[in-house]
Amino acid sequence: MENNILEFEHVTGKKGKFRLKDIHFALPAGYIMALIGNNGAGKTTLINYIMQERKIYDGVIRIQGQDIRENHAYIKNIIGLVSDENPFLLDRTADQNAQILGIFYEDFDMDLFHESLKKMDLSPKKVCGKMSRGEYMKFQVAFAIAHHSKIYLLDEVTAGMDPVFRIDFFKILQDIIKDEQASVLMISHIESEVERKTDYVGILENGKMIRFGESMDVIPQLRESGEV
Amino acid sequence: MEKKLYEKKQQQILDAFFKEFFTWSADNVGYWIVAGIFIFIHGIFLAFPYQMMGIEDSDITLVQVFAYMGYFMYITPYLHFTEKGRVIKLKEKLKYLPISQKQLRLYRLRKLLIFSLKLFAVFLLLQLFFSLVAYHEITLGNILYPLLCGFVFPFALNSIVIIFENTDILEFVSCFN
Repeated sequence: MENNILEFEHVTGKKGKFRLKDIHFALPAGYIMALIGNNGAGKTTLINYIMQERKIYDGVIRIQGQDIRENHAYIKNIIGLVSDENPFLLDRTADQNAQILGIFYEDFDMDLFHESLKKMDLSPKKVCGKMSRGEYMKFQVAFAIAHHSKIYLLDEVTAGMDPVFRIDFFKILQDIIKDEQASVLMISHIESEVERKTDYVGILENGKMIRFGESMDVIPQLRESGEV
Repeated sequence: MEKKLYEKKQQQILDAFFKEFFTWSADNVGYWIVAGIFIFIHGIFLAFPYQMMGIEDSDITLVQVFAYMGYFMYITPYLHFTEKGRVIKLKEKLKYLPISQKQLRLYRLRKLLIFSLKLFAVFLLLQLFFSLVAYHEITLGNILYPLLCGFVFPFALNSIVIIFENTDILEFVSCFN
């Protein structure tokens, strides 16, 4: 596949009781990929392999064609992580977080940050520690948009969102991937969302990717076989 | 951007970050006031000419304790901060940001080194001045005493804290909150 944003080339975890095994897939620019599997299948571990500074795997992970190990800190400029595990300053407002932590990014755009917050109906004056889960996810998405991420890693983001906003959320994602030529890798347990809103799906089981393909092909097959 | 170039840039980014961060967090003010008190007392000890001290003298140990605590209090705001009443390691907040842990450690070591060297220069001058005034001489002890007790030992011990970010130290710091 040409113009791949994210590539996993035979990635296998090096140590630990639980490891990913021979993960191999590529996500082209401009698409949304869902990562599904039972609890403990390795979905969050896959994201950790991308975000962790230490190399805890064999194989190669590429973002925009570059091995992330070659310049891991720099590559994080274009990774937008949205997760409960993403640590922001909880005693500070959304605005203050952007002001303080936005310094680390090469091209953090405060105007874009405010614009994104406005679209998601979230006040920049709200303290992060006092946000609901849904609001905290919205804040992180706005933060990721503001530093022009090319790959968005969403770890069960829509789980805490109201159904009305969930529809708007996917419109926002579609705008992002179109404008920024970015891609989205999202962990989700919501089957309808995976089938209708994503382009590709990867299924993890016990650390192995047992299936990868277009959502509209894979999900109906799984349904027929009774796996979903 | 090339890795080496970005490594250099990260030091500038960290300068900008801490400048901004310290305007929002009041922790550093308290730590630096306490650091100032310890270092002032430490300075008084180091001003006494070495000829008045002996290697066996327990005052040397006391001097090192004050030195270590003073330098430790100076560097602590670069390591931890308070959030929701808990002491949090700064590196945990920065782990997913475009900054490498190695550059963060180097930045902290650089800050500690510059701080230590500046203080060592002051202590050395004090030691030499009072030695000349009281004993009309400068001995090797007048140089080694501030060098070891005012620079080498406190810098080395605090460097270990930076490099390993020992959790026992975290628990110790949390006693002040």
